[in-house]
Amino acid sequence: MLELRNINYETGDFNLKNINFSVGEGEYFVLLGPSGAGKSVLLELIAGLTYADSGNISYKGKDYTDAPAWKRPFGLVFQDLALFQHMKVYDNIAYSLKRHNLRKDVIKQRVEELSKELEIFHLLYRKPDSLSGGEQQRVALARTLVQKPSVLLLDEPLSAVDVTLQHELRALLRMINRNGVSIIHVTHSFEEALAMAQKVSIIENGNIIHTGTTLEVFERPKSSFIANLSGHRNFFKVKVSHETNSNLLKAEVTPGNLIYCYGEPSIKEGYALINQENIVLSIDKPDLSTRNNFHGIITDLHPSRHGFEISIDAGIRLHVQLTAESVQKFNLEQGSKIWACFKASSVTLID
Amino acid sequence: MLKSTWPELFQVSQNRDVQESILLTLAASMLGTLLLAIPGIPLAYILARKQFPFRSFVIGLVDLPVVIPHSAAGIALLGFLSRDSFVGGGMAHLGVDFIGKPAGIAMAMAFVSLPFLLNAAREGFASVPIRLEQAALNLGATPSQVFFTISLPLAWRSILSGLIMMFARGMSEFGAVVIIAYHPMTSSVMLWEWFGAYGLKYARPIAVLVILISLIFFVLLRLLSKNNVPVSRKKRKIKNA
Repeated sequence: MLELRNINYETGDFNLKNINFSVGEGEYFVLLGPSGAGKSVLLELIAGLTYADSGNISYKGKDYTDAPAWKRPFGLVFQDLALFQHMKVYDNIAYSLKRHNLRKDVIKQRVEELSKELEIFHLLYRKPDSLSGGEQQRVALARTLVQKPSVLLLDEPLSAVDVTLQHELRALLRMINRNGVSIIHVTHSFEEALAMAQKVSIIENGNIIHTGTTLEVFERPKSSFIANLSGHRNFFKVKVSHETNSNLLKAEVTPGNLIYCYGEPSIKEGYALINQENIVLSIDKPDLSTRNNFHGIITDLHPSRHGFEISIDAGIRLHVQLTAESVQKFNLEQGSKIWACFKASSVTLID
Repeated sequence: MLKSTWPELFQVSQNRDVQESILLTLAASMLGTLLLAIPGIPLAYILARKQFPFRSFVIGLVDLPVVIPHSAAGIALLGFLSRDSFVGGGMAHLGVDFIGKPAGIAMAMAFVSLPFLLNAAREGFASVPIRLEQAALNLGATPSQVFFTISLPLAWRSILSGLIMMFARGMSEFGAVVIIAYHPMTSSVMLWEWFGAYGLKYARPIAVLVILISLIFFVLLRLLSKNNVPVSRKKRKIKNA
């Protein structure tokens, strides 16, 4: 287990304050926060590229707080990848192995095996600057993975690639994680955190303000900052199946509670996101074209920045923002029955 | 210069003293460049990458040999290398004499031209992204391995350019060399002597010969450095064109 205890770090106008978290063996841990929150610095501290003013970093009980970078078992993939442009892809990947004076045939075998696994074998004798963004990303991953790091540190690994490639890379990272590599993944994207994390920490201005599972952190955000960061309160872990004779997908939240949506047919499990603005409320059963119509009870109604936020229990729990005028007009209160409707096309499905 | 005829140039080139002085100049400058490059290149890296007290002062000090009169630099060096000094005396015990010797000429040439190498190499190292060095550290490379596998290859073009400039500037040195060693004569000292002893007519052909040889070496080394441009950069240049 990797543990960070009471880490403090100050540089100019930026501070990390009393950082504490741990990452278990084989865990996929996501550190989520806006730009400038201190995420990348935290990774550099773990990797030993900079040193904390106080606190401890340990792995499997061994203290690495003052260990030099080249003696730490943590592999970092930089946001800008930092590939060695003066070397071919093969030499980039073989770099760490050559430092350990392994035999040439052993190095060749390890590089070729990994490059086949990451589907970059055909690129081995090209220079990095002739590769596409996705190919470079895979090379950077291979270069770090070949040294078999105990913990893989990823700094915004999906930020510079297009949506299709994000999909592929997510699958690749999951595969790496399934092979037993613990991962710390830094991102500013809520959707990325939701898609990847087993455990998530939210970092704001150098402080970790909440740690837990994605459901714990986002469904019951501890602060308006987390709620704003996610921008979504309505998200559900779902199992996806096809609607017969249709391109609609059925996303099952719990047995009997289905959300209809569109998305990648290959997705079997994931998260369904519904933007609050796309939910229409009605006291009477509405006569609408919406595919998702839930009848439920208002379980909570409390003032918010835009008027009121109501929580509806309709088999699934939905959260909707309403103006004070609407609450008054429909005479809404805790216990009121209400219909919540939204289109299948307004649901975002994340794998 | 154009008044020198080919037969005059040929005749001068056959003169044994002239041949020896030109060879001495080339060899001493090359030796001085290579010897001082060994501590100079790591020093340039330290100046580019490390923060330490009086760093700016040291960077300023590097340029000193360029701004002071070279005869004064020669006298300063004489105090440092003469048998009476700590360094010169110590080296004399090891059998290395500087004053009036090719080793002294090499040191004089290198001392006044070292800033060309230091500044070019420092800029070259500074232009290497720190991220790449950090990536190498993270991949298990020690700082010295990072220097030889990342920093040095990526800054090599600037370093090579600095080495060529140092060598070329060393060849042309007169002021410091004449203080350390009038004999054996380098080509610039010989030019000075021939001009003083025999006048312009006799000094001109040797001047033309020295200029021609210096130009040939300079152009050859520049071409060599161009051939060291990484292939990917060559491609980019062609694309841009």
